[in-house]
Amino acid sequence: MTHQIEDGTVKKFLKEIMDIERIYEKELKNAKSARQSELKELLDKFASKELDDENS
Amino acid sequence: MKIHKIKLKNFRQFYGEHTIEFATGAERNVTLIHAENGFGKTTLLNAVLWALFNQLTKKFEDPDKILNFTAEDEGEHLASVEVEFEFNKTNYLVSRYFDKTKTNKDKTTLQAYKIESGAHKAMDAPFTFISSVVPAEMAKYFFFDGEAAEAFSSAKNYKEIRIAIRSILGCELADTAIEDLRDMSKQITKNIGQIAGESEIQKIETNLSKTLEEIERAKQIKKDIEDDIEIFRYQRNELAEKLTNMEESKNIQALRQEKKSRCIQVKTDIKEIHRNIIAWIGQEGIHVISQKISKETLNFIDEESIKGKIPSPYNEDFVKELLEKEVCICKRQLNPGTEEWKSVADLLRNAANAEILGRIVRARARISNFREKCVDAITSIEKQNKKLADKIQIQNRLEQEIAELGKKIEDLPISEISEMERARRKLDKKIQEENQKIGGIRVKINELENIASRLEDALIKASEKNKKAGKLVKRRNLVSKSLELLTSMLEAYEQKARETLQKEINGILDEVAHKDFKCHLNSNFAIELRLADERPSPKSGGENQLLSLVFIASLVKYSASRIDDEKRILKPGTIAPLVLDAPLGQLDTTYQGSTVKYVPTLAEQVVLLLSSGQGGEGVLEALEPYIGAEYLLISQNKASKGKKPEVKRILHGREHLCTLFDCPKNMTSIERI
Repeated sequence: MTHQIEDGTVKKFLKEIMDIERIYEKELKNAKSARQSELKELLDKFASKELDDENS
Repeated sequence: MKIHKIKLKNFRQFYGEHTIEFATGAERNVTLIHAENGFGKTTLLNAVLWALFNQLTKKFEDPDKILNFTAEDEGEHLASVEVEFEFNKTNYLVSRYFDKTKTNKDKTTLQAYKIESGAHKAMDAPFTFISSVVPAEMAKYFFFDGEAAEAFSSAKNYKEIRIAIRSILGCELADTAIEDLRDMSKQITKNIGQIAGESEIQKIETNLSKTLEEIERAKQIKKDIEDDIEIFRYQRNELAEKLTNMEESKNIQALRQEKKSRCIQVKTDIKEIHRNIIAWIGQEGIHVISQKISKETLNFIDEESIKGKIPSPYNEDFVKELLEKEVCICKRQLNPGTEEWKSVADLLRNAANAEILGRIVRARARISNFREKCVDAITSIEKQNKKLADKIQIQNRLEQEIAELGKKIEDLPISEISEMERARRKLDKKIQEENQKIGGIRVKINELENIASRLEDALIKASEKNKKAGKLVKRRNLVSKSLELLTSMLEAYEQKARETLQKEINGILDEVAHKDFKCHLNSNFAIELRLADERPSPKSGGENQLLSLVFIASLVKYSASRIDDEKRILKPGTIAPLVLDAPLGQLDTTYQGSTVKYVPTLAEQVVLLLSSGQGGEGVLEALEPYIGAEYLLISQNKASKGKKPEVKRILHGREHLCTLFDCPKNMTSIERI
């Protein structure tokens, strides 16, 4: 695999995912909410910062 | 959390206002509520569950009829339950109201207040606050309906048990995260496939998506089959237990069980021998494999030694001396730089010296040692093979004998027994068939996962040429890895919880059970009792209830032990009162006494709702040092007594009438004893 991701990066990402889940934990399960869009935003920001280098 | 008091107003059969103050002492932590069947024990349990969590137990009939009928007839439209409790050294009041005039959505309202210096300060998010005290999904295990305890001992108990363990572990948040990560992964894969002008990427993505879907489907099928096997296993064990208890078949069944136990042991021995053989291959195999080469090497060294080639016939010191003296062995002059001098100097390359001689000695010793070890290794593997052959023979014999005993039971001239045996054999066969199916599915999943892995590699390679695709692949990889990590973390937590709970349950059983059995909480979360020889123990109704009660007790203790646990993935545990409705119903009087003695130690605050069948003298005697508050529910009836029997309770030497007639209203009242 060319795109190996460090374990530390995965742990960091998961921690941030869980932080968002915790913010929305009191809302109804499976409810469509701002949670999904916030998660998507996190993925984009996190990946841009941690995974995408300038040459890619 | 400790409940100080509850106040009911027109809640079900409790007409008007009623208050119960609970025991909160460190020593006297038990509140005992006596009531005959139908007088309102389960209603009280549900009043607390409803007020705090808007939940009701499964057996609570007509859950939408909260308002007391008499009050309703008198024009009342409101019912309510207030719960006053202490949490982290602060007092709170939670009130839930039922208003029959409102539409469905607004029929119930919840309010929470913080009580400071006697003043009630309304809280903004009451449900969020209550969930932080006791998470809603954990509530039903603290406020437990003992009459529904069979859920933990039925054929599908593993499902209920897993749900209970996961609820107490607080997996809900992580479960939502798993769902979200799966959705993210699917969406990214879809986006990759939609990149314009990249037909190769699109083709790989389509295949990958299909393969991943197939993997999910295969995993679900595997899980369904595993569930079926668990049910078949339970049904088979039940039949085996029944056969053991039937006079005509019990001797044959006992003999068969004994042979089965031996057969299980032999199978374990066979597995151990297989492990030994695998270990032998790693440690000793090399000696046997190299047997031929070491023999040839040793022969070569010997032959060359005889020929004088090993070591070389020329000694290094001797050649150096000739070169130094510049005179050959044939007395000819050796002038440096001449052809003769070079010929003699060339001999130094292969000339023997102390180091080479040492190496030859060491090589010979090592090879000889190899050959000796080879002899030992062969002897050792022959022994293992012999053992294996013997054990397989014993296993075959035992299986044959077990089958013959089965046939004997089937041939007994009692149709009920032979039918049971036939059914048992059918289940055995089904389990075998389902296990074979699982084997096939495992292979299929493995193959599909290999294909998916190759496709993922191909996708990464293809996307290297396309910047957008490359970025998306990296994101999907990150999401997949996070999903893997979270899933494996959850599995590890569940596994640890299972082990801790099994230990906890067995610790309690050691103190309260009358038989020498141990609880096994299997890897699939099925719970069973096994006798000392590992055979499943036939369970009576009472033992089922005992097991369920002990399981609940262990859950509550486990939750308290997790109060400071890691909060990132799981919710932490909680300390809450243990409210048990009819927990001793199916236990005989000896079991009731020994079990109930243990109950006050299970939580900081315990509330027991007992009928006369459960709250006999033995129980009261065992609980006496722990009782801090005691109540009796009394049924008031408008009707005259007529021929109806009087219901009385004698508590602490005093007689109490539990049913009153010719009363102004039909209702249940609460009397403090």
